[in-house]
Amino acid sequence: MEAVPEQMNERVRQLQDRVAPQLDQARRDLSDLNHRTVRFIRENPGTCLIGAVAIGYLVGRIASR
Amino acid sequence: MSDTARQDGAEQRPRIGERVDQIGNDAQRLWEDTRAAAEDLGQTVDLRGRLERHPYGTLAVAFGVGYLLGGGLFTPATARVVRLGMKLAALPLVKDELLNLAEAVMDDVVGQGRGARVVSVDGVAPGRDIPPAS
Repeated sequence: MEAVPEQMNERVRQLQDRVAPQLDQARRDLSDLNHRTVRFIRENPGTCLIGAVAIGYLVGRIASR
Repeated sequence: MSDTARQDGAEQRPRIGERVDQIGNDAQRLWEDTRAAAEDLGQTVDLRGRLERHPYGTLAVAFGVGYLLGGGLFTPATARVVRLGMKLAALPLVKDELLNLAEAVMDDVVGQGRGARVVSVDGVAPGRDIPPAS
């Protein structure tokens, strides 16, 4: 009977070992993407602002139909 | 052409020149004023600084301005977004209330459990009243 919780513990541990690196990698990727996006926005402020206004305008036009 | 007309033309030529100069000066002053006003507005709004400090927020505001310009203010989509936003804003309040309620219930349950245990220590079965001391 005590073998079942131990097996479950083992499985959870294995799952954690398998998933944890992937989660870590995903977190690093997201952080990198965020840094690159912010850098792009800071390097091209006019383009980003005009682009955002244009996209908002289009969405507004679509929403008002 | 008569002599008087020639004289008038000679008198008017400098006047026209003065007018042109005046118009040029006015246009230059207008241009300078406009540029100063634009610079003042730029410094007041400080778009570049805002973009440096809050890049995503500034882009969201720009998106909102575009959305308004596109005529999306009084639309069902906007109403839906506003309703969703209000619900999300109310979520922390509701969560706090629910947590307080749950804490109160748990305290109540734990308090009752302690009382039952005391009763059982005294030799009375849990859930039954303590017999009056004789």
